[in-house]
Amino acid sequence: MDDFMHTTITMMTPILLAALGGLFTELSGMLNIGLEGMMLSSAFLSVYVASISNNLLIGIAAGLGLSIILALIMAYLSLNLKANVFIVGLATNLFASGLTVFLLYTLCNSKGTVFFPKAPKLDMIEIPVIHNIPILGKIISGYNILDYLAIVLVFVCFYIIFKTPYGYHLRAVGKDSQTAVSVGISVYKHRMIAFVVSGLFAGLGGASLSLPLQTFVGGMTNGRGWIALVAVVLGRGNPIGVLGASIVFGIASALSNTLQASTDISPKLLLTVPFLVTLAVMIIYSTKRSNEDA
Amino acid sequence: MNKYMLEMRNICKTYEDNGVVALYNASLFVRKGTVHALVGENGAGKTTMMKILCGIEKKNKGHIFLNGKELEPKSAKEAFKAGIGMVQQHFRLIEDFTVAENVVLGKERSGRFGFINRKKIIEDVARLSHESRLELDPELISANLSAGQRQKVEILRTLYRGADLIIFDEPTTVLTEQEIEELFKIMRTLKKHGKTIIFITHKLDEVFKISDEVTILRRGKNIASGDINNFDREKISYLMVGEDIDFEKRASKGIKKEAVFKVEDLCIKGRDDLVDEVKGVSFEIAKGEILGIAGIAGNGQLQLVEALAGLKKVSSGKIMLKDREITNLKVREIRDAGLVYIPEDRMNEGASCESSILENIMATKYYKREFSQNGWIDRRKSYTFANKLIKKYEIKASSPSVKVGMLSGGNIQKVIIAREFSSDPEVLIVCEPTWGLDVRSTKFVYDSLCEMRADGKAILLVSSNLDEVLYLADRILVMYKGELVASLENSKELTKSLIGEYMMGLHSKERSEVW
Amino acid sequence: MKNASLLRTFITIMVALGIGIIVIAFTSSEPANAIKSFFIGPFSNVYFFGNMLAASIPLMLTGLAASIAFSASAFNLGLEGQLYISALVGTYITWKFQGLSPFILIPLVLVISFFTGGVIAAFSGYLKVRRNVNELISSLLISYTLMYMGDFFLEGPFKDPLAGLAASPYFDSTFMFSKILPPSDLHTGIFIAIGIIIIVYFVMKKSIVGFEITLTGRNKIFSKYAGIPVSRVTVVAMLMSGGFAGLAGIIDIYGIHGRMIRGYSAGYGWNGIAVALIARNHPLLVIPAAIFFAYLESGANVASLFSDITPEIARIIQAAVFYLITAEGLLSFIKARKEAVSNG
Repeated sequence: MDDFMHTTITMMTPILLAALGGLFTELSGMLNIGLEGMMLSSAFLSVYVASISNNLLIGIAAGLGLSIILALIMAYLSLNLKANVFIVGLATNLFASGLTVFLLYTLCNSKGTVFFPKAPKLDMIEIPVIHNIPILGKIISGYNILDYLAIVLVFVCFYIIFKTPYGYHLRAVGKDSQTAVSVGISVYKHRMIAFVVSGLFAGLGGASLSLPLQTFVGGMTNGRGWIALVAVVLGRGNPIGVLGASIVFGIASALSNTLQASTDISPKLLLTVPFLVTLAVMIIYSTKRSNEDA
Repeated sequence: MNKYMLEMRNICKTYEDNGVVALYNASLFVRKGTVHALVGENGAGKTTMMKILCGIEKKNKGHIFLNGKELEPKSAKEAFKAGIGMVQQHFRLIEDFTVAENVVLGKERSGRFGFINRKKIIEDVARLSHESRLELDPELISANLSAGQRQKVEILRTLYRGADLIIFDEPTTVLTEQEIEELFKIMRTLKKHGKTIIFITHKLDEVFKISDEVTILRRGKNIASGDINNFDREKISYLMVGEDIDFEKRASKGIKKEAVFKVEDLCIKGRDDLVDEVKGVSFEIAKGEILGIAGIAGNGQLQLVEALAGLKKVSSGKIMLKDREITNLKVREIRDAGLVYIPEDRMNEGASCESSILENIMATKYYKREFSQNGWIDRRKSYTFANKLIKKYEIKASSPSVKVGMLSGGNIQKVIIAREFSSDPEVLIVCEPTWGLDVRSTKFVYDSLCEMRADGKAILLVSSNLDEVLYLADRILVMYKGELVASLENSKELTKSLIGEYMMGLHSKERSEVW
Repeated sequence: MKNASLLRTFITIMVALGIGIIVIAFTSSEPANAIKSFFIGPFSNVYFFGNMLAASIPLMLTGLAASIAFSASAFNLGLEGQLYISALVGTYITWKFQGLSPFILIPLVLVISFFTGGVIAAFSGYLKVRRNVNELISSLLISYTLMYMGDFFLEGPFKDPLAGLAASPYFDSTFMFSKILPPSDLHTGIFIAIGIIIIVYFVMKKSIVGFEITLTGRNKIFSKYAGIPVSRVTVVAMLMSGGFAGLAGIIDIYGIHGRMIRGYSAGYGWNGIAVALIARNHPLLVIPAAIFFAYLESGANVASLFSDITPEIARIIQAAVFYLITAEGLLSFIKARKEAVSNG
């Protein structure tokens, strides 16, 4: 059971990180569909650069750099050139998908799975005293730095969003942009910042996917960016809500993984579990139309 | 030393997207410490002028001087810095935030670690509201505020930012008579504290009650200005419009005819499905009668009207058209039964701006046998029909293929009226029909409604414009907090302040008397 | 206004191709050859040309599918999953009942595939109108699920034991559509696709259904107010959308493969959306738009055969199209650039 909880948290981290990024854009009034693409591109570049530089931080920085560039492209096209933010998000995903395969082929001469032995390992951190507590120990201790960072960021985001002037301005922009304008808050500036932040977080999410495995597989995000999007919607503008939704989806992924390892059920069928769970949660938590005629 | 605190000289502004000339060499001179009324009919350019002053719009030509120094407000922020604040017509509040959070929005001072000190903000706002006699609890959630309270939040916002020049854009449209008096008291207090006030309005009695000086705009030009004592009602009215247009009461003195539309004990639940927003409303409308519903917006009128039109569910009660019950039927069935609805929101609900005039007109008819067969629409017949309507209602458009969004407000309303009237309805429900329209279009709407009444139609007129209700309605109902609190014959003795009292809920207990 | 959007479409395509050329120039050791293969290759012989047209057939139908949903203001992103499962169902029925006459079975299978895809998409539409579930996300989640389920069948119960890859058994070749341009794969399915598009064009322009979809897509609030049954219209539009996606899947099988191969339809969904965007949801324009995208993929494939380019180039060009196609500010940006340049 504690193994299962452990897997849940590990599976949850990439989704949670990407979702926190998506939360900022959602609060500013835009739905960032490009999370999947930003994650994927960072997943590739962070492990590749970590490998050739033999340095984790440089690798992560490179991955973040790429996802932030993608975010800036999205922002410029949506905000300056007035493109449809959904289509630009789809473009980001397509571009990242093509780009990563292209780079994988050009730089590593492969189109499938590449293992990067030279990339430094992301150690599991065993918290000194806690790690020895019977059941709780396994659940709280023994994750890598990115897993812990994700949880910490949830609370950092909470404070930023609800307790700082920036957070008030951001929420005002998303709730009623005309009001924000009339009190002198720049809608453009906040949406631009939100995109960059989402690129940063999605990049972290991507790095947290590939670095622990020292491997990149084409298309390895496999829909996590979309699940993160659902977590954003379900979180209803609150990082704690996003955390809650991410835990549920982490459980679904862990379930899929565990069953694949321990049973004979076809792996392909088990891979549908996270998506079905996400869909079910979306349906259950949707609001019924009230007071309207068909 | 300049004698004017604010000088706006020869301002020109043309809107790029539709080529409309909003202001042409318009000037404005305001003395410090006065209440200056900026008057003109809808579309004259008053709001545009103030938006330019506040940095929300950019002027094409002209100069602005504040206290002798030239000012080029490129954004709302710069206008605030210069000490200019605007209380807009449509209140700009974030519904989820508290009063205090809305007042300081955009100008929050952060404390340690960049965090906001909630307690200090509440204290500051409480103190400010007390000093300016705008008593308001800083911790109230804005979504629950009344119109008058929301306006106070807007005023507090300008004071919090240290505004010396405060602009009020049509502030009394959504207020009751009593709240208007309170607003004037607040204005006088602000004047005493050394503030200068610009007061935009098209309601002439208010101009004479509160202002010291007046400027009149017509079609984007400054027609006249000066001390208020040099003007009278007729003169300003004439200058505003450029001709004599008189609105006399048009209530018909018909004999009591049979009721053609009956509403019995209607209850409608609010959005959260818990509380009734309309409680036990009953009334009848006779053939050839205009029944007016007066009331401050937000007292259930919108819900009532939407339920009658089929856009909202009724939780209990009956709606009868002639002998047929139409409660909770689908919109199309209600329309086919003979009830049409002209909504307040012209641009989003009453018309589809992205669609052509033809499509807008056919939207309620395309499925009918005259226009379609076996699932295919007869485009030639539709085109001819639309052309006929364009001629009949004198809609200014070159062809039915013109996009509705390209038309002026008055012409859009004409398209809507053309569509709804041409289905030969028995009952018309009309909401705020002349909101934002110039005098000529307003006259057209009133003429059309009176024609319908003469034709024996039953009309329900919902309007927050008491003058309008008094001009047109034969009987007047008043809604307050979801209930009907008065039913009054529109006789010569009926005054706006009596209606206003009912609108404030002052006589609700005496309801049984007046029935 | 119309001219502006045509110009913008043209500029977008030019820029996208330009980007493709730049990428090829940078990454190929023989750029001239690669570029020549990319642009001229698809026209260089009947085989490549015919295959390009054959590849445009499913894109015509998925493009049509996407554009109908867009016209009703709905985002059907689940095209690929709808297509995949419908093709699987169609292939299975054809294989199981291959004793029947093709004249009976093929039309029947086409109808079944249409409704398989249609019902799946309509389900997302239903969730949207009844429970306010974002159809963009729900259709995609369902699509992922269906793709995995389809793969499960092709790797297991429905796998051809003699095949070297995950694929279903072949059905009798009498069910295949005739080839019209040998040695290429171009088949009579192209007439079916074009025929469907023409019919849909008239339906959208002149029928009640088309009118309702157009109006609902432009302004839902107004449509509700006018009495148009907006919920029903949305679900119908999604039904049609999924239906055409389903047809795209099965027609490709009848035309080219003769069995269902795992992953045979990769990219049909996203390309379909790209086609709809370029065609600005206009049914007739879907035809040239689909051919254009087939041309892109074709060019990339030919170039990868004759030079050292990887076919992913097409994906990057496609992404560039997506990026720019809705940028309304693109024209003013270019105008400003021109002015800046001419003013020195």
